[in-house]
Amino acid sequence: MTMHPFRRRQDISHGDALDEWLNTRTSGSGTTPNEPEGESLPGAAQEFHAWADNAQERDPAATGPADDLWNRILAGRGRLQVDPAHNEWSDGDMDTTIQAPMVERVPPQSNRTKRVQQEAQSSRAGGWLNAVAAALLLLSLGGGAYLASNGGFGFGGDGDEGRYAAQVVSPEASPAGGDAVCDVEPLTTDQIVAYVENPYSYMPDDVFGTPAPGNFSQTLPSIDLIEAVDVQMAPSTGQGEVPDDATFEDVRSVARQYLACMYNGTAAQVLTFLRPQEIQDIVFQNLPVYRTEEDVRDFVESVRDMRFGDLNPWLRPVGASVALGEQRIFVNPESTDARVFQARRFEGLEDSDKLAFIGLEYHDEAGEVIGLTGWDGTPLVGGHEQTNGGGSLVFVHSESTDTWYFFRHNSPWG
Amino acid sequence: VRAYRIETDNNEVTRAAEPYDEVAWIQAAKCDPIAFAPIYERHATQVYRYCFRQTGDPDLANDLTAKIFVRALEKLHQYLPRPGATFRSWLFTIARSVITDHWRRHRPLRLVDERELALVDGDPGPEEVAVHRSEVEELRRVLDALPERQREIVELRLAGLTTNEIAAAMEMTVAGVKSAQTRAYSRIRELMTHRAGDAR
Repeated sequence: MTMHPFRRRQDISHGDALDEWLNTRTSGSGTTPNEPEGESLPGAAQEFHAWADNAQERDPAATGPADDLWNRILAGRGRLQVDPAHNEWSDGDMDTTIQAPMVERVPPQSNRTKRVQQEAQSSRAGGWLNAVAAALLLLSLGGGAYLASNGGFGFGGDGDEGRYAAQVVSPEASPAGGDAVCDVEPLTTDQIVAYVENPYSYMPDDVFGTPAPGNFSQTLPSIDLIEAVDVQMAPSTGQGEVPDDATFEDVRSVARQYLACMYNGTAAQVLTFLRPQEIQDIVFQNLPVYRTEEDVRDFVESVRDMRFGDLNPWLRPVGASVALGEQRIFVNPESTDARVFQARRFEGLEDSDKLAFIGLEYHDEAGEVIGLTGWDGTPLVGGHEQTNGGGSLVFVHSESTDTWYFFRHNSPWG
Repeated sequence: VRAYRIETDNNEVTRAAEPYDEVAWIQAAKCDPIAFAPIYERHATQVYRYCFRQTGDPDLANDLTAKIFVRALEKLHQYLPRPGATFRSWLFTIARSVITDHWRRHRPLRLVDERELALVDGDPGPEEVAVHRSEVEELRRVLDALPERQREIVELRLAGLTTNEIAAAMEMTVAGVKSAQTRAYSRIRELMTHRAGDAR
């Protein structure tokens, strides 16, 4: 192969000229960089930076941070919140926005993982048959709209027979859009505090070595672990795979319970569906920078037994707010086309090996079904304008705990 | 000597000396976070713009900016000046981590829209042409067309960092930064040429 030493030298020369021009421009020395030739690399860089600077100066949103951002940082908010009701900045004053619980919490019967596993095991053999039965049941009752007008689908049925059966519930009996009982065992205060101290502590040592020591005043694990792991950012979620029966039943069971707890559960119950890293993130967003274990414990105690739907939006997991609007979402009973994607070393899900997408059913305030979406959010019934953005629920599977966690509400329409 | 006052809810800080002495303020802020205010004021705009360019969402950019400075405050006691590095490069190391963390948690999971990629390559479809986009969005599309590492280098250039600072922030060698930078701006030149052609 013939070498081209002179061409190579020319490239280096261009690179040096570019670097010199950029450094002069950004050094803040006050020196005006020499005007580069238009077609040269520095010339292109000059044109690009002039365009970028101009674009940012002309866009008010790009100019600079909110005026009071520093005071908010110092006050310990750390994270600004937009009040969706008013679509404007909110101070997120906890004392004024958290209200007393409106309903009594259902006493816990068992923890979520055990319950899900039991349900899944009991129904795996007939999982697909149940799905078919559900579809037949839909047809026999005259379609989803008819069912929905009578209250829609319930979550809480146990056993094969009633698992996907429509429950006839009058709107009066279920004004909040669902009678589903959230009966997962809530996390204890000690468990939540331990996760906040070190959300990676539950993971086996061979994932990242010995977990970092906990520190309530730092978000250190999040930073250090991410710097330590070379995560490949997947450019696309691809097509994924149709989950096997067992996986599908696991995810659907968790999805139903998650939605039940979103509507009728307490904060400590809903937190059982979130990965410890997200629990830490949520708690830290609501405490001052210089917090102690006592601060964390007091905060957890103050909110843990409150009805989740009554807490202000910034305590909610990402993407969950769609579940608490005027419309109600349910697991799509026809969502037999769920998809599972490989999640290892993806999206910072260090401990997770799979992402599962599952479709949704949308009801209006009166209980009418106004839309069904499949795994990718594609409307199956009704347009996405009617379905509050469409979308699907996404869950991640933790290898360490063999548990599916809520990840986000994924809407292809943003 | 010019007085300088940052008012907070119940606290205030008075700047004792000019010109701005970053090392002195860092030392002071290690004892009292209020003293971090001048440092915040000096870097906040570039950090915010860095976040905004990557998100296109002012609310989210404010959110991330706050998070970056909160983490900087929390880790300030670990900060030690290094040869070739500056406080700004340290701050942008945190910024990169926070943003990377954010995307790994919250990047929309959706299929890649091939039309968007085609747009960057100068082949927009009729629908895209019809849709108005701000220049900042266009800028983001150009940056999106770069490989991840090259994009980060250009982002840091836009934030005003020097080659040495970028090398420190990205834990790369200076030569590595210059090499990737050359490729990045060569690609940008191509994209800008396409853009100019489209405009005509």
